[in-house]
Amino acid sequence: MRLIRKPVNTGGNELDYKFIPSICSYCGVGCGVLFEVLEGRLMGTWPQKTHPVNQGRLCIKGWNLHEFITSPMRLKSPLLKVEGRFQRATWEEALARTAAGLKEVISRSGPDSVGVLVSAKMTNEENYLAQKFTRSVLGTNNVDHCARL
Amino acid sequence: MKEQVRDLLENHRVDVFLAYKDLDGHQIPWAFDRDNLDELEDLEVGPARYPLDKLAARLAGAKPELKIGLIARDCNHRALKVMAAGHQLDLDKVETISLACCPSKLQDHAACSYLEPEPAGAYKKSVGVDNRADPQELEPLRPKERLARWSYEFEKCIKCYGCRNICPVCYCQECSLEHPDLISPGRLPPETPIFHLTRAVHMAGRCVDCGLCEEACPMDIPLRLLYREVNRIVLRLFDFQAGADLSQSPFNFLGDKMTLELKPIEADQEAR
Amino acid sequence: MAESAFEPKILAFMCNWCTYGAADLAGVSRLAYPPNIRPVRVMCSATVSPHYILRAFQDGADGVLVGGCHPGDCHYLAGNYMTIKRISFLQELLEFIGLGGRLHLDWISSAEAQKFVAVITQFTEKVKKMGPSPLTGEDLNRRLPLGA
Repeated sequence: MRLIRKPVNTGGNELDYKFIPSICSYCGVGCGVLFEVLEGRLMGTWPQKTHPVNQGRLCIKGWNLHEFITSPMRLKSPLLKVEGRFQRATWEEALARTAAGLKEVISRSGPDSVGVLVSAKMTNEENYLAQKFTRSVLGTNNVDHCARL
Repeated sequence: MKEQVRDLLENHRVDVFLAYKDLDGHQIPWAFDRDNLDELEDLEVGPARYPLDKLAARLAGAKPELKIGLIARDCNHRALKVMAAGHQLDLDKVETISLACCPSKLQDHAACSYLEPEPAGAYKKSVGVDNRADPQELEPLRPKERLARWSYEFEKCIKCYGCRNICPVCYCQECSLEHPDLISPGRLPPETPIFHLTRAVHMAGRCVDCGLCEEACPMDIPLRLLYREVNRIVLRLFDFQAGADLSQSPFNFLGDKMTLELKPIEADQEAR
Repeated sequence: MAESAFEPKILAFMCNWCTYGAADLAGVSRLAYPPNIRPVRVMCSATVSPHYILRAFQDGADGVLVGGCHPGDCHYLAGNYMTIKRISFLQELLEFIGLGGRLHLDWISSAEAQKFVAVITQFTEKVKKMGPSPLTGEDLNRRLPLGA
């Protein structure tokens, strides 16, 4: 990990430097990680040496968990493709378009023509919600996870 | 030790003390500070070693005016010296509480009580390199066999960069192992052997033989053994040992005289 | 025994002020030497980073030669002091891994065309005898148990 060179100025003299134990969100192994948090900002990811699953070792995805969490590329608003280009949209527009689109496809080609891909970067709860939505609402069991690819 | 830490914090000798806290049986690195002195009750040091020296340097980079304390094993002391020589840390702002561990510096594997690698299995012994071996044990091997054994080890690499991430003396902002012009990032398997040889070259004059790299390698590549040989070469050629004091590594300055002799072409013919 | 058909590929890093001058003089004087070297002109032998040398071996060079100025003659005063430190270290490291004997450093001044020819010829002979670099070729012959 790169050394933090830029001094972090928060004014106060209380130091907020913590290590938060967690589990890597990517694949099914579930390696123990420690998030290094300085003043509420995620600075780095370290392996948990005493964790029985990984015993202090991580793969490259695990070592870089902090990157996607604090990535400047994360979306800040829903995007809708208009004439081939992504445009910013409101939640209402995005949800309405998605619902309409899904309804249209399902009525035309049946529920099994839709597939849902969930993600390791979402929480377990959101993943559960997504698959529940797919099965109960959309009416298909075409749901899969990026870790299976 | 809890009393010592409390003392350091209360007397403003340090603003933060890096040690370990017990959390459900796991000792995780923790920054104890003056405002939460009751946390010191949970201070507990186990055999698990984290690079507290590297964390101290990262903290010093973000907050240069901070006075940092940490518990330091022998390898941490060496690493702190190397980092100070590389201007990553101001040793005046660092206090250490020493932890007795390896009885002698840069000694062989078995002397480090916290490093007990798993014994190598039969297959690894037959085609690879035993992590516990001494570099001298590899000397009688012929070059072909050496390369075959090391290639077996290097080809297991999954390029997790764990060895580099956890190494206390790896502090380059731009790492050659990720530089697109040197070693292409994102390419698997890594180009063997130059991926590991590049790292070995960078460890010359820097490696303090803490063994964290080997502990962090998911593929059990005998990195500590390799860098131990690197240290032996540097000691033999330049009489320099990283971390012994604050002097610069011979690779950090040009120098003003020849310290070595050229090797003649016929030096090591196929007689080996 | 290496076949007589094997022609080694040798990458030769030559410092602009000395060794490259020697190579030039050798050419002008019509001195014959084996054609196996691929010359690369660098401003100082100290600019030859281990990255280049390792990359050369990884990409199929059978031998690497580095030519610099004599001690005390470096155009940049102290470059060659670093060169010998670096190359000596790298030679020992490569030896440890099993790639020894394929890296050579020599001081050749710009007037020493004969020495240039001698070094090239000797080194090419040596690498020829050693055979192709084990990092080249399909099977690589690197696995244990060792092949023929």
